[in-house]
Amino acid sequence: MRDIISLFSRIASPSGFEDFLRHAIIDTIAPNIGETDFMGNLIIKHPGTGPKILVEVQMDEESIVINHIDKDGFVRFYPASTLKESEVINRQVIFPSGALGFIGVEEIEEGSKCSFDKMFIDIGARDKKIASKFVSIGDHASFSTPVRVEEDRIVGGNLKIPVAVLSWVVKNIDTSNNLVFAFTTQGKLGGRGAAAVVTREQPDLIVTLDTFPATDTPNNPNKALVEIENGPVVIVRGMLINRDPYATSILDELAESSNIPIQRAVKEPFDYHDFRMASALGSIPIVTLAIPIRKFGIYGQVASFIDATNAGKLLVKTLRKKLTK
Amino acid sequence: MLLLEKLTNAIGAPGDESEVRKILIDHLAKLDLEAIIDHSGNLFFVKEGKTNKPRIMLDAHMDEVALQVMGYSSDGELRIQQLGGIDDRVLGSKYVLVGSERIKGVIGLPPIHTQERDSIETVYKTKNLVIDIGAKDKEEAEKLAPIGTTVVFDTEFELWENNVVKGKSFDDRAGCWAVAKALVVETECTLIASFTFGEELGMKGAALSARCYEPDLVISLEGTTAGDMPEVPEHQMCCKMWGGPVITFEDKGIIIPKKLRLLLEETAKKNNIPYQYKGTVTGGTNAGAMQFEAGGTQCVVIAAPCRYIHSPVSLATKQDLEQMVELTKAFIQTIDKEGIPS
Repeated sequence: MRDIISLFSRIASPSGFEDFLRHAIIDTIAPNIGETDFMGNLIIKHPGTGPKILVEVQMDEESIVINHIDKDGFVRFYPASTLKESEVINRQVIFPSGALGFIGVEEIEEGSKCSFDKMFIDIGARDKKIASKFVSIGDHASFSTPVRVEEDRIVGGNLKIPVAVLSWVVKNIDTSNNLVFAFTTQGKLGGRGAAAVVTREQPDLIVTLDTFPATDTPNNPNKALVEIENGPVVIVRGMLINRDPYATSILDELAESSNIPIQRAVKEPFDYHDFRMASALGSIPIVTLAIPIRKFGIYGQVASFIDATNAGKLLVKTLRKKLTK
Repeated sequence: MLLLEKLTNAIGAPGDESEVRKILIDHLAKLDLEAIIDHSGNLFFVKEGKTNKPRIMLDAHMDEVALQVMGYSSDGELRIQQLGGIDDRVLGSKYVLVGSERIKGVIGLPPIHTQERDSIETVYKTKNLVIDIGAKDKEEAEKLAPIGTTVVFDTEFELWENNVVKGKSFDDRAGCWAVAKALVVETECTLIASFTFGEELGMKGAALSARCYEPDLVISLEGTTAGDMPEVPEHQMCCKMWGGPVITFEDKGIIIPKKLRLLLEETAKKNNIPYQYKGTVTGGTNAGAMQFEAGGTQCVVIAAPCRYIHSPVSLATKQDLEQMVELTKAFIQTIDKEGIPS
């Protein structure tokens, strides 16, 4: 598990351009496993009996989309997801081509707002022709941050722990249950890839793997205490959609009988991704298991391998269980 | 341009698209296509092709941004709210048509003589504006325009000498016009013309349409925001008039699959049809709602550049509009020949 997390967390996977991570997942699980659809979703089927359970994780990370390259080779962009202006200034970004760039800002009047349309990316290109070799209109770039492993903990920018956990589960699952594993795209854009998978697979139950912001930092203002190394987080409710009580109770019971610590939490502010999945075909019961991660803006994260391992074990036990409802 | 003239002069507030529907049904009757209307008001025509060829949906929405009567002043003026996004600044002193009877009205503003300097510089919000239909009192106004009556701008279509067209609701009657024109293309693919309701209120008809017909490919045809006007920097410009059809790479609702977009661009180049990108990642179309349906549906968006959309009057060029149709037809033939890239 440690090696998979370390490997995946070093791979840039901006929304809509998750190809590198998908290839790494396939290489990790088994060559040529699964099918990839036109949106880039990777679907791995585990045929069996009983209700069809879709186990889903999103592969993408926060990103920006390129809309213009000027004659001097400077690149303009829009935020692809819910980024704040203050989060991106002077940050380093990486393009699907591997090109690196820094986000700069035009001179703005004192007191006026620094908006995205005043920002540009300098990729070091002399002119538009050279820039166009590395960057195309419509490309997404993500934020480049180094990754470091520190004993049981990992420090980095876009930790792909849920993706690694599900990859480990797919490798280690042994059950006669009817499962579909989905590594989906454009999750940060509101679960677009996941919604397409749901309308295609029409599952009876959805299990999603996600992250949850840990609050065990100095003087953290959040009242709900979620700590790293205190176990995976069972989401009991969301702002847009409730989690299925029966499936959630199974997670609780299996965790207790297996001595796996868990934490319970309410997902805030809005769980668009899960809502879109659960409502794509009307209403499908959904349950969410999350890995606690300390988050610092969009590019600073700290997490523990111990939580990831426990999440993997709990998920395997859950997916082996025969559902009675 | 006669069909475009009829379509843009028609009234078609979200959920109230019957005039537009009738014009399309009458026009497409010439192609011997049967009109299918679903319970929500979406209109479809299916031109069957060979079963081994892709099913292509040509999509446009029939509705336009509009207003709706929400109440009355004691003097018989109509209080209103918006249906779709309209800049408050463009509303004052505009002619409007109220209801299906096309009652004439004006969005009234106090004359300059009666205003203090501060209020002259104030932009009136829609909730503070009223429509004057000349009613004597509240009772007469209620009778002529009951609550919920829809209101559209009163703007007549014109073809100017320089082949610029002026009118309202090019978003998306330009798309409706293009779908009707592109349907005559020679192809063995099945073509489904889908004219949806309620796009301006959140793509209301789109998901129903794609779910019902399960197309292999959707070509959404739109009118989009030409930004070639003073003080708009190039990197914030959506597109330009006279620049050719507009190809979307991404908007707020969809990332167009790259292989499909590149095939569309290649088709334009092969057929010597100029094109431009939609240079801003803003707005959304029916394609955003259709992409999830039926297990995931590939979509492209082609648009005509139109200045001043979502306002009482827009401009477009005959050339851009015709090239949008040409590109759509050429792309259908490309898909017919090469299939849909996976």
